Amino acid sequence: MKTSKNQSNQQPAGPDVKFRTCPLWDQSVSEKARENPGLGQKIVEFQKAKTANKLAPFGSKDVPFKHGDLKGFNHTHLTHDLSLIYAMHSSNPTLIDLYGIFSHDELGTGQPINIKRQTSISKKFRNQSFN
Amino acid sequence: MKLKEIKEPSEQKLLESASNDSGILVEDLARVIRAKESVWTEHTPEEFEAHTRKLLGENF
Repeated sequence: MKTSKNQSNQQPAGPDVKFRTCPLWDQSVSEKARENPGLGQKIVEFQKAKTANKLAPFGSKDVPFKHGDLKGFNHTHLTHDLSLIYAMHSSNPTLIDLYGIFSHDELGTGQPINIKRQTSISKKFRNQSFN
Repeated sequence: MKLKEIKEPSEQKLLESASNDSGILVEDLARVIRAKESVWTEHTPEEFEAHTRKLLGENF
């Protein structure tokens, strides 16, 4: 069967991706948005980008943490200092778990690196579990 | 009362106050709060955008 060029590039129909939020997400996003105008728009851009193509990186700094206790979580920069922390798993639909938006300092990934803070916040992330 | 798992003094004080007001044991209150803190909510992309707009209100 012949398909047009446009059709062959289309993503599968239906909710291929679902987003999951936890109270930590709601809390951190509310806090950060108060001092960072435009953050809401950035979050929606992230949502639209991942909905269109979940595997494509959002911006140039959408990468998983590779070391330490934060290993396994993805982060993408929304501003110079703020990163959106998420994890992606399952299929049909793919679930994108959103943990929150945090500064380098809060994550312990600034200079100097704070391993204790990384351990503490990763524990907080892992305690957010699906009921 | 067992308060071993409550580390923040402010949280402990708040829970004790709530316990006195309600008659519910501190450890039960703490358990409910911890359970509530770990609940995930699932959204379709459209629902997620609406959730974000509602959450941020005028800060959107």
